[in-house]
Amino acid sequence: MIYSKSSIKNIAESIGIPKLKDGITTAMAQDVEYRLHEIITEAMKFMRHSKRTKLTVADINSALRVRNIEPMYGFEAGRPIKFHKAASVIEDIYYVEDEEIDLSTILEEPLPNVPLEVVYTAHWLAVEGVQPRIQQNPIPLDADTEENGPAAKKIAKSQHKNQDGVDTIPLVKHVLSKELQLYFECITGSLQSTDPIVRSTALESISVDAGIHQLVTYFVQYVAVTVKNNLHNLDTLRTALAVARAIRRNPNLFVEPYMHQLIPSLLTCLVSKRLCEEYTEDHWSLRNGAAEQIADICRNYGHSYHTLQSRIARTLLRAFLDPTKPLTTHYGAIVGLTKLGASTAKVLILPNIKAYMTLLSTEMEKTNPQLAHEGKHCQEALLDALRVIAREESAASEGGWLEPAKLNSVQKSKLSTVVGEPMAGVVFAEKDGGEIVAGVLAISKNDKTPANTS
Amino acid sequence: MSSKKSGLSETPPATTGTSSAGNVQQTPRDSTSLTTSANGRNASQKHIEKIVLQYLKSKGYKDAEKALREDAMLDISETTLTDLANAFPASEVGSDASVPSWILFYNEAEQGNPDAYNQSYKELRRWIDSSLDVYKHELYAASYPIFAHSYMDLLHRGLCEKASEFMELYSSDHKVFHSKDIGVMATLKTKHHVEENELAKLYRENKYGIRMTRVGFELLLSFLQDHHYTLLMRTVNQHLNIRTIEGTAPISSEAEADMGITGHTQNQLDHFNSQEVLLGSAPLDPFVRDEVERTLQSEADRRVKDSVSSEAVGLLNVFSKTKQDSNVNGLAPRDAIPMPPPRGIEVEQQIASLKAVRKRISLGPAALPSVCMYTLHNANNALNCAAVSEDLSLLAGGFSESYIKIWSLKREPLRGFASNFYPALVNSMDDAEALRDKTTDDCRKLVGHSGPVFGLDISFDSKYLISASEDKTARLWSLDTFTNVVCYKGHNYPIWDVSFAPQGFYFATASHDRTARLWSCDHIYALRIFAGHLSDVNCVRFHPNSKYVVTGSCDKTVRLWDVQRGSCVRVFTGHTGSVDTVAVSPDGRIMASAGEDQTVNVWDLGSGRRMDTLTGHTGPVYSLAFSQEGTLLLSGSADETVRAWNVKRSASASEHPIIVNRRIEKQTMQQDEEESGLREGGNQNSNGTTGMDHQKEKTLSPAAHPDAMDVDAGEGKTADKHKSGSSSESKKRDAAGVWKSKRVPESDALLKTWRTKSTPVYNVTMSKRNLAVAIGAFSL
Repeated sequence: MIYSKSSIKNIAESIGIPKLKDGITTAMAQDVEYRLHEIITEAMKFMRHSKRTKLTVADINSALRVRNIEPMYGFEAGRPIKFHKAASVIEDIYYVEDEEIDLSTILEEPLPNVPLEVVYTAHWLAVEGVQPRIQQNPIPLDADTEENGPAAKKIAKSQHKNQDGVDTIPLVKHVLSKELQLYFECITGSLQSTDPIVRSTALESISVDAGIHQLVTYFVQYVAVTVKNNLHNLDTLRTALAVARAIRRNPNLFVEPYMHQLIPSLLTCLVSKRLCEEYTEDHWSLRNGAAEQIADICRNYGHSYHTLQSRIARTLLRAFLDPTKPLTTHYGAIVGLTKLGASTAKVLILPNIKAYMTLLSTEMEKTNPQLAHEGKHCQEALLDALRVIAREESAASEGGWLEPAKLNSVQKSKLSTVVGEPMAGVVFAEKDGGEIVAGVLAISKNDKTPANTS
Repeated sequence: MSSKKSGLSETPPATTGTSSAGNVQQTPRDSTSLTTSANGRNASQKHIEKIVLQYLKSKGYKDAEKALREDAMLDISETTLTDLANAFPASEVGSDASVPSWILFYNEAEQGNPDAYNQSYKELRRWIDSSLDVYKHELYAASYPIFAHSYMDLLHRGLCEKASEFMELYSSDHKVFHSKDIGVMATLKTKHHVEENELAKLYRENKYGIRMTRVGFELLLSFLQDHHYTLLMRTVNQHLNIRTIEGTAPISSEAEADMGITGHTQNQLDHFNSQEVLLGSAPLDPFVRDEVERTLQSEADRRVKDSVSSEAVGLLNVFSKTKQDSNVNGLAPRDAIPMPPPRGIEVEQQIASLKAVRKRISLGPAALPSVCMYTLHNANNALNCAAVSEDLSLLAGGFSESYIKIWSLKREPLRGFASNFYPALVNSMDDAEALRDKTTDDCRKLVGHSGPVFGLDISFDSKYLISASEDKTARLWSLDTFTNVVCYKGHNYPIWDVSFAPQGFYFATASHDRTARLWSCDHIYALRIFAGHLSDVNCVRFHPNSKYVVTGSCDKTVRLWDVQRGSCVRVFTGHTGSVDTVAVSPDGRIMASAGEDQTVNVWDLGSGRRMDTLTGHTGPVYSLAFSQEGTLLLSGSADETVRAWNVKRSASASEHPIIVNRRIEKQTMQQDEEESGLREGGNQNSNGTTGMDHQKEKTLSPAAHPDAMDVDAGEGKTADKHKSGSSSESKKRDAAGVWKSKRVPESDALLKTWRTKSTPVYNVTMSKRNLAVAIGAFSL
């Protein structure tokens, strides 16, 4: 029984009848429940003919009117009625919230907005029996979404919500043929082999094969995962880099959309703190290789992604100028910047050499052999950078060739003002020192670089 | 139908419990046993009479007692019933012993044992459960009215607790087919409720129809007799209208066995459904016919002079063909309903429809239609109904806020004629055009009703709109002036639906007052009142020849009414919920109905039999539409889908509908095994139809290149294969994502489901060119 005796009692009390006999309440409860059902059945007809699936107050009122009963005034609100639970000791009582409204404030309020006009839109639900995949039609449900039906529905629901103006992306499932799967397994297997011939054959295959476009995303993924999981395994990292190079080199593949996935792995290989077990291992060449590839990517795709090079340069510069970063990272940053081109090196490295050298010399003065080893490499890298700058400068000069400067103390002091005392010494120790000095000094002569003024 | 009345139901319907007991006794078997013992017959007959007399006395039936005493010349002895029963001759204890013991048992149960209903019904249930599968369906179907009446009897006797216990125990048995009625019944709590409730009255005052095979019927009777379940026996006798079907074909589903309450005895039903109906197309007015021919001929001649190949020649061919058809199959002019004299617009209309016939895309199971969907936004659940005009130029919607809104589908401004002007100044058509108002809006509001608008329809020439409302009126609106022209009063309760006749002029309304009415536009009172439905009439549609009206009702029946005689000519039973929409195929032979029970039933109008039951919708069905060939049925539903169904109309199907139904049943049972084979069959079938369609096209358009046609046909076949494959795929897909996570077994005839985005489909229409239009209101 939905309508209990106590409800009758409660209602009776609320309208001022304090005590009702038990027999009366029982009979009343039965009858009230029946009458309610009767009205609701009638109201359902109105609901059905209004083509709704929810019963409204208006339906009940229509039903009452049909039965010649006074309708209930005051409940026909636009919003659905909410029932609140009253705290009661014995049992729950529900009531409709009836908030007090201050008429004066309502009168002063501006009129509410006029509701939107009913408008119609037309679209093809089906064209010769086939439902076109357009925004107005729901996404077709896949045959195999039997088990994740609710999920599919959730997507459909969210699509409903942003129906206006947002394009729907068809959920296309990527299907890989059996052959390609086998090929991929074979290649990744060979890449892990210890035999260099097998590995190079695999890489060769990646770099020339025409039919593996569907696998590009998998290879990119492979590189990323390998780099992430084998940060201290130099050999594996080398292989990963080789794979990246092979994909890029393959003329049959369109890899541009995957570059953003590849670059983070390459950067990792370039500036990571440690890329090997022992510091004596030659991780420098790995870094050089990574720098090469990044520079290559910037050259090839820089025209379509304008911010690519500047973003990478900014990242590297930050690494270069951060004294808390280890020397290995610095090395990577310097190499990377150098490879990005002479102009980048000129603007970003040259002004900072002087400051950096002071840091480097303090590091190198420590008795740690590892630091000394790394510092030496950094110096080399800087030197390389200077070489690149000087070469560029001499090529840009009027004769296309700069006379190598005399390695005398005048030049040395001039150079020291640009790159600092220690670096000047290093430069002077080089065979091609004269050319470098000439180039660097030509720059500082041509334009007052920030380093010169500071 | 191969049916005849059983021995039992030939006896006149009993009105009291007493005669029911005696009534059962008169089966032929018993009478033979009586005649064999001719000697003891008199004595025992006397004895029985005495017992009956005593019974009448104890029950206080004074008049009956007196009558019996006078007729049988019995004297009153002061013996009790028990004594009489004991004194009954022992030799007669056998089949006849049941007489006194029945009366005794009956008496006792009536007075004392409140558990009698419960116990006997429980036994009946157990017996049905253990009976043969072949008879289970019909026995289950028969057990439902027994259940319902037992419950109401209990209430009537004031045993409310027992009644609710009874309901609780057994209601789940019948929830599948009768959940709505049971829901209402469960709310009945006292004797008074039973006496005044509409549904209870319906059950008490009418007989419940059941179809049974002879064997099944006899099984049931003998079971009830053998166990002396007099209470149930009485229900069977008093409240059941059992129609036995001869032959071996068992009844294959409960829904088929269940006819429900029709408000008619079986005799009347048989009579209704055997009446002659004339389903041919309406004859063309001779004036219109000649005029059309003349216009086309002159057009053709002119073009021939210009040596331009013209479509008028083609149209003439089509016209002569339709003329022939209507001569063969059409109604004789005296059978057709009278129409006002033609005004000229009919000629244009006829030519336009001929053009449409020529441009029609032939549809079939292999060639599904294009569906244009009109979605109404910001309706905020206030839209009640919608319609498009036949030429697809206007869209109209009826709203809860008592107004009607019309949109131009061509996005042209709807400019009505001004109502005040000087007639003297209007000399030409241009003057009249200048009188239109200067609005640029492509939508208009029609205000006039004082209650929600529940139904509307636009006339065939798009000149008038008729609307029906909760305010008990129907209103005719002119679409030239966008004003209300006539207000038709007559119904005493809200009007649910309204529909124009295909040739205009007449319209029909369906109302809450349980009647449908026929009106003509020029009379403000109804010309005919179609009374007979036992509950609200929900929908009404005209037969294409305007001679008949089809109505669907809350009483779960669909009826066909003769417009001229105003009488019911067919009753279609089989729905398990109220019928909300009906549609008649353009050739007038078949009819489809659907509604709350989410199934679509296809009926053969001529024989009055069900051809097919289409399941698959997961919400109430709001609208149905046949393709122009009648081979395809579209349905729009609250489950936010439009579905296309294959309408099988092979000659054998209409001859043996029961067999057709059984096949479907079997298919659902053994779907996995048979599916592939069936689909192949369907393929062949549909291939055949495409071939035929192409042939038809060939004959229709002789100008077309035959080679191109052949290529087309070949392509059609291959495309067809693809389509049937994809349709089976789509079926699977549908099973995956269903509306409100409900699962409904989809019948084999489902060709395709098109989902919408949160838009319940209120209306589907087929244009003359076989373009489908669906209308719905976007709702979150």
